[in-house]
Amino acid sequence: MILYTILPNEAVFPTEQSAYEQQQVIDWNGVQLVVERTSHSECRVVQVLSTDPQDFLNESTQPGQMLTLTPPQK
Amino acid sequence: MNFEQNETPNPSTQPDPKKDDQSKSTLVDKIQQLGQTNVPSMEHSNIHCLTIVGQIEGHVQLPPQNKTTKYEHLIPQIVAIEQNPKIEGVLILLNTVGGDVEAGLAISEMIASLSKPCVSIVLGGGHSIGVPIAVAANYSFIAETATMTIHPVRLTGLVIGVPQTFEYLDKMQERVVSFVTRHSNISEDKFKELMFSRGNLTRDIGTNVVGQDAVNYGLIDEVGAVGQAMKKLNGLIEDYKGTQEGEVVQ
Repeated sequence: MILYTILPNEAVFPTEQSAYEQQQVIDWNGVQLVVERTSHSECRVVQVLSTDPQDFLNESTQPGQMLTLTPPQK
Repeated sequence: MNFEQNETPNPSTQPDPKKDDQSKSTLVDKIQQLGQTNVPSMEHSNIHCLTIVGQIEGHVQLPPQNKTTKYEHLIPQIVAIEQNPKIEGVLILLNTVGGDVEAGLAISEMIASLSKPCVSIVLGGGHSIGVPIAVAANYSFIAETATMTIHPVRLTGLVIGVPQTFEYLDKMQERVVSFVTRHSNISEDKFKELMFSRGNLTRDIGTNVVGQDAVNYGLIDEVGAVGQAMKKLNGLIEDYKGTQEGEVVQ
């Protein structure tokens, strides 16, 4: 089937709900980050949501960096 | 629980589809509550920047592969900038194709009502609803090669079925036109002329203004980018501090 339309792609083919759930906004040391969960204990930084230009120089939150969850140390 | 940076980023890691929702949400709660690591202390900047890139997302959430700027992210940031006494100025960086009219106007109104000095730079493109955001700042810059598309409000692909819908769109457009004319040096007639002119855009009405043209029309204050913008912003900060001290003396 060929569909000729000027409608945007997402209006014709709605995205699955799971695609939205993959990305989350987390708070990391007071800096908001958009992360994408890659596994049970890891997530990848997608975007830094900050207005402070210094936050973008932090190497550990560069987009593409992996953040890992480690068990609490008591 | 702590966040720690992996030594080797592994982009090939696939999401685990078997994971049940409950364990996922509790895990995320713990991340949000207890996430902490050691960050080298850096001097905080007195100038903050708002980057408005991709599409301006409004009432409809776009799929994650789209690059968007969400107004629910920007508006609290603008409030935080207004409240934080350490922040003295704001730089707005625009490279947007436009998007939701009401979300764009919401951001524009927030920027326009900010009491701190604020300078915008249009880099690449500040199209459609990016125009009111660019002019909302105290002073606006456009890069020499950057462009701004001015066109009438429309709903892509949706047929206007009833006269009421048309009138609603007309009113919405009027809000954009009045905002732009109030916050820039362009006249309403000139802006509307650019908006409805034919033959400039392929199969569409409107005008694409490039760098110096935007300045000539009075839409943008000056051609320039980050260097000129920072100089101007620092000047505005000095003036702002001066007026504040004057008030204290009284």
